[in-house]
Formats: sequence, C-alpha cells, structure tokens
Amino acid sequence: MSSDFKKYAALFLLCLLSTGCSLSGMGDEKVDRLFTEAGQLSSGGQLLQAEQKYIWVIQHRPMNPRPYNNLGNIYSKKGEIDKARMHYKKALELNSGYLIARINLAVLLLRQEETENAFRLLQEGMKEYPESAELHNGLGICEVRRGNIQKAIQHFRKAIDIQGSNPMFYNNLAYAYTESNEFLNEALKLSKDALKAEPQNAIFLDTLGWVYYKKGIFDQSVEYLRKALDMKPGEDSIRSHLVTVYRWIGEDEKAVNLIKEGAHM
Amino acid sequence: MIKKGMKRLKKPMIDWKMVRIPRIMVRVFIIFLMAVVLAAFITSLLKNNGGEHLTFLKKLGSFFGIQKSRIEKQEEPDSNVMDIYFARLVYVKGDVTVKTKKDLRFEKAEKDQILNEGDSIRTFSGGYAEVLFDEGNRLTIKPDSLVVIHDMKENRLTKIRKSSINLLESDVEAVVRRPKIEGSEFVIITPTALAKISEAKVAVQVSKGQDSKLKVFSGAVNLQVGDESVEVERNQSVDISKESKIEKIKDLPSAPKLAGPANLTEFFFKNLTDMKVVLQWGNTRTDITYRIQVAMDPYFTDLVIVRTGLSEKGVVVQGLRSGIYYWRVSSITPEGMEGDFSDYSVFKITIDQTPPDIVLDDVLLLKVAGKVNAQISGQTEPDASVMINDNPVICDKTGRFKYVLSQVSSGDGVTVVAIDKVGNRNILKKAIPIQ
Repeated sequence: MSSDFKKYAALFLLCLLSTGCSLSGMGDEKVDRLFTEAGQLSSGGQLLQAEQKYIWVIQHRPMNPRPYNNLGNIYSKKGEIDKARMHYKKALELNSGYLIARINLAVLLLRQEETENAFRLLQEGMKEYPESAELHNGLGICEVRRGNIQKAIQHFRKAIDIQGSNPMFYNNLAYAYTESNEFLNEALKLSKDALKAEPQNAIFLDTLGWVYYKKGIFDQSVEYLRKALDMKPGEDSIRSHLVTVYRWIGEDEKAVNLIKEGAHM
Repeated sequence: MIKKGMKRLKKPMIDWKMVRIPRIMVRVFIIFLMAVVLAAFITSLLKNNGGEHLTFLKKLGSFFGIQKSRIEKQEEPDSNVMDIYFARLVYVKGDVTVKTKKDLRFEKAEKDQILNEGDSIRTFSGGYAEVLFDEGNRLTIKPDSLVVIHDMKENRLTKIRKSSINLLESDVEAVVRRPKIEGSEFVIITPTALAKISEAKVAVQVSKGQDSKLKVFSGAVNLQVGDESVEVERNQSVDISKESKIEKIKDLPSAPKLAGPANLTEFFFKNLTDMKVVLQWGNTRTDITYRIQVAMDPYFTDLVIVRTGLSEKGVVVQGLRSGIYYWRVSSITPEGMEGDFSDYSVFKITIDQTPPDIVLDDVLLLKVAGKVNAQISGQTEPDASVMINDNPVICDKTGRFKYVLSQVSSGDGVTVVAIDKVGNRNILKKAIPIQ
C-alpha cells in the first residue's frame, strides 16, 4: 500500500512538475511576445500602450533589466525624467554591466546638467568596457562641459578609432577642436563630413556654424546657425551661439531680439 | 439549349481555322528579319575586330556611333565607364574671368559658378579665385594666373577620381584632401612638370619664362619632370627649369604658431590714437625672419599690413580702424626660402566714442506698508555698467536693467549712469512722479 502510495505520489508530482513547466513555458512565450510588441509600439510612437506592456513584463519578469531600461526610454521620451532615471537605475542595479542602461542614464544626467554624476557613471563603466566607443564619447562630452578640452579631444579621437566613421563622434570632435581654438581646419572637415551624413541634424548644423565663427567666416556661420535654430528653436546653446556671432559682427539689435525671443519660449 | 442531365459536348483544345496572311506582310516580315540579322552581324564584326579591313563598314559604324576611330579611342580610354563631376568657384575677388569649353572668349567670373572640364580661369592683377572641387579639394588662384581644368572624372565602377589642372603662367595654392577611394589623385600640370598629389598642401608658381616652383607644406607629392620622378616631402621646395630639369630640393622653414592675442579677441579703444595691439607668435628656430600679414578678409586678399624681415616674434600694430582683422605669419630662412603661413587668427577693433544710450521705462510706484517704492527699469547698451542713484545695477545680456528705490517721496528724482566698455559715459535724470 505504502509503495503504491509512493508510486502515485511520485506520478502525481511528475505530472504537476510537467504541467508547471509547460505553463511557465507558455508564460515565457507571452512575456517575450509582449516585450517585442512593446518595443514595436515604442518605436511607432505609441508610448502609452508600450508603457503598459513593459509594466506587465516587469511584473512577470522582475529580475530582467531590459524592460526597466526600455521603460526608462519611454519615460525619457515622455519627459518624465524622475521615472526614467529610476528605471535606468533599477536596470543597472540588476545588471551593473548593462552598458546601454548606463549610457542612457548618463545621457539623461547630462541633459539635467548633472555633469559630474554622468562623468562618474561613465567612468565606472570604463572599468568593465574600456574599449566602448559610446563610453568614450560620453566622457568626451563630460570633459567638454568640465572645461577639459584636451581630455575631451582624446576621448572623441578614441571613440572614432574604435568605431570608425560615426557622424556624431565626428561632430563632437569637431566641436572640441573648435573650443580648443586649435585644428580649426580639421574641425571644419569633420563637421562637414558629419553634416553630409545627416544634413538635417540641427546639432551638426550648429557645430558647423560655430566652426565658421571661430574661423572668422561670419556669413556662413550665421547661415548655418540660423538653420539650426529654425529647426530647434528651443535649443539654448544654438541661440547663444547665434547671439555671440551677431554681437561679434555688430548686429546688436538682432542679438537682442534673439535673446528676447528665447526668453518668451 | 442543353437540357439538364445531358452531357455537354467537349470543346476541342484548339479550334483550328484557316488563317490567311496577306503575302505583302510575309514579304515585309522576311525583309525586316534579314535587316535585323545583318545589323547584328555588322555590329559584332565592328566590335570584335575593330573593322580594320572593312573601311566602308568602319565609316558606316562611325556614322552611327557604333565604333570610334582609333585616335578617338586613345583620347578617351575609359569614356564608357567614366562620370564627369564638377567644381565650383566659391570665392571671387577683383578681376577674374572664366572661359568655358564651348565659348571663345573669357567672361566675368561669378561666385558659385559651376566649372566643367576644359574651362579656363584667368585672374588679373588683384584678382583672386578659389575653386572647390567636388571631393573637397581647394585650389586658390592668385593674381595674374591662367588655370585650365583638364580632367574631372570618376570611374563609375571603381569610384576612383582623377582631377587635373593645367597651369600656364600662374601662382596657385592647392589643399588636397585624403581621397576616400584609394588611387584617386589630383594632378597639377605645368609646362615642364607633373605633380601627383593624394593628400597635401602645395603652392605652385609658373613664371612667364616657364620656370616652375613647387612648395610642399604638408603631405608629399610625386613630381615627374621628363623621365625623372622625385618624391617631394613636407616643407620642401623644388625649382624646375624651363629645360625640364629639377634643381636642388631645398628645405622650407615650418610655419610659426600664433601665440596671442587669442582667436576672436575684441579690443575697445576710445580714439584711433589709443589703438595699439601686440601680435605675437612662437617658433623654435632662431636664424629666421618673419613676414606678417594683416587683412580684412580670411582669404588675405584685402591686406592692410604686410611687414617682412621681422626678427622678433612679435609686432605692435597701430592705427587700425574699427573692424574685423585676420592675421598670419610665415618664416623666411637666411637663404630667402619662405615657408607656409601659420593658421590665421581673428581679432576685432572697436573705436567707440559714442556714449551708451539709456531708455527708461515709465516709473512703477509700489505702495508697501504705507511707504512708496519706485521701480526703475530700462535699457542700455549690452555689456555697459549701470548705476542708479549711485547704486550699481546688474544688466542682463540684452542691456536691460531694473532697480527698486525704496521709500521715495515727492520731489525725489532718479539718476541713471551708463558706462560702456571704453569708458564712454551717459547720464539721464528723471523726476519720480509722485502725486
């Protein structure tokens, strides 16, 4: 009797286990499907639906850092900075080697003018990924903000060495050269190459305009900065560059109007 | 009518019928067929053996454009796979003319004019032109030069580009960028030499007597003179005689580095007589003299100061009027070899005798706990410093200022003083309107 009972119990447990496995497999499939769908919705601009799906995924797979990172991206796009920050941090807590989340968080911090925090975060990443072009690029941006232009140049050069012709890295190196007041011809070349790759990039237009300013070619400078500002009227750095150029060429009235226009935005 | 239940009769697959084709059509068709076969045969014959022995067919082929004569073939070896690209005149100053391949005479050059193969550019005294090639190479043509654009071709398959220019009596500078496709080159042809450049900054002069001088400031150039070929390296100069002989290759001094003032420095002076700016540069060599140029444009065509034989690494510049100035320096060896100019730097002179404007807004009276405060606001020149009733006031970037005078009473006034960067002062007094 007891041996029969044991047999039945074993059989019952086996059945239970196999059912559980198959059920959990079905759950995995659903989670994967929803994760993919959320990604598609997010890239299609349907942020709310994507957000809901990612939340569901996180509830069912709380130890996976990817949905946290992707949800952080959605919050970042929606302008919910604190939530974005929290989710990126959670992703990093779950996996400190998750490079994308680290870079996303650093970008967010840079946007919030928290240069030192971004710098520390990226430097931590360098311990694990010393050959990451993205990390070097991020550190270069931090160094520009910290006023260490020569260090920034080294980072941008390294990023280009690692990843080759990336227009963003070209643009950033051009900007760093411009800020150093050295290699202006090289800056012009790099900036033009970046803009050739992405002609509608306002940041690249701004850099080229700024290079022309530093080279004393003011008509071209105004042309590119104006284009950049028309594309991104809310970008203070572009406005400030154009104000500087107008001031330099003695067009104070235009400079003042630009400042006033910016104050009303 | 077919009744239900009855079997349908099966239709034959092909419904044979007698079709009569008119005889004339058959004849036309046969003639057309023969013509096609004959044309195909002639074409294949011409393409395969060049039609050496078939003079008539050769002429016929030439007429229809199937085959070109041997001479034509030699002139255009790869014309079937070559794309022609363009160049553009990005800067024109003074007397510059262009003759296109089709035209018989030179016409006034226009900025942004497109240049094609076979076009000629002529600069006269005081005339400057800058040509930008599609691949980013730049050619600066100095006064009294005649340049012909010889080649601007890109191989459609390999994307290798060949650009070449012919220099007659000329003085030019070329900045050739590293080619994107290995094997691309920029060639400068003088009456006695041919310089192949892949990435370099060079200056080439061709004299009236057909002597040439090539200076390489960066990169390296392969120079072919007659059967001789030499590699001219960075900071080297070579003279080529009109008899197509290479004279000795000489070293050029490197360009000095500008030390100060920093690029885009702005200087303010109250009077022209006060205007004094010190321009400084650095160099490790001690046995050389310097040439400095100060110009009103980045192309250095509108020169306002040129001084040579300077032994010091600095110079005091005086008497410049309000404006933006560009300056650069070159080194000259005791043997008279002049190297490349430094990168240029920009500075601005402002001679300002005008006091800053002050525009006051209406005074705003604020009653607080039975006392009256007056808010004074207005606008002055950006960067001017402002004092209101002897109290310093901070202006914003646009020159706007705001200050609150506390506990004002009837008969009180406000005095606004604005002082610009040069020290020009403006004073505005106004009564505070308290009823």
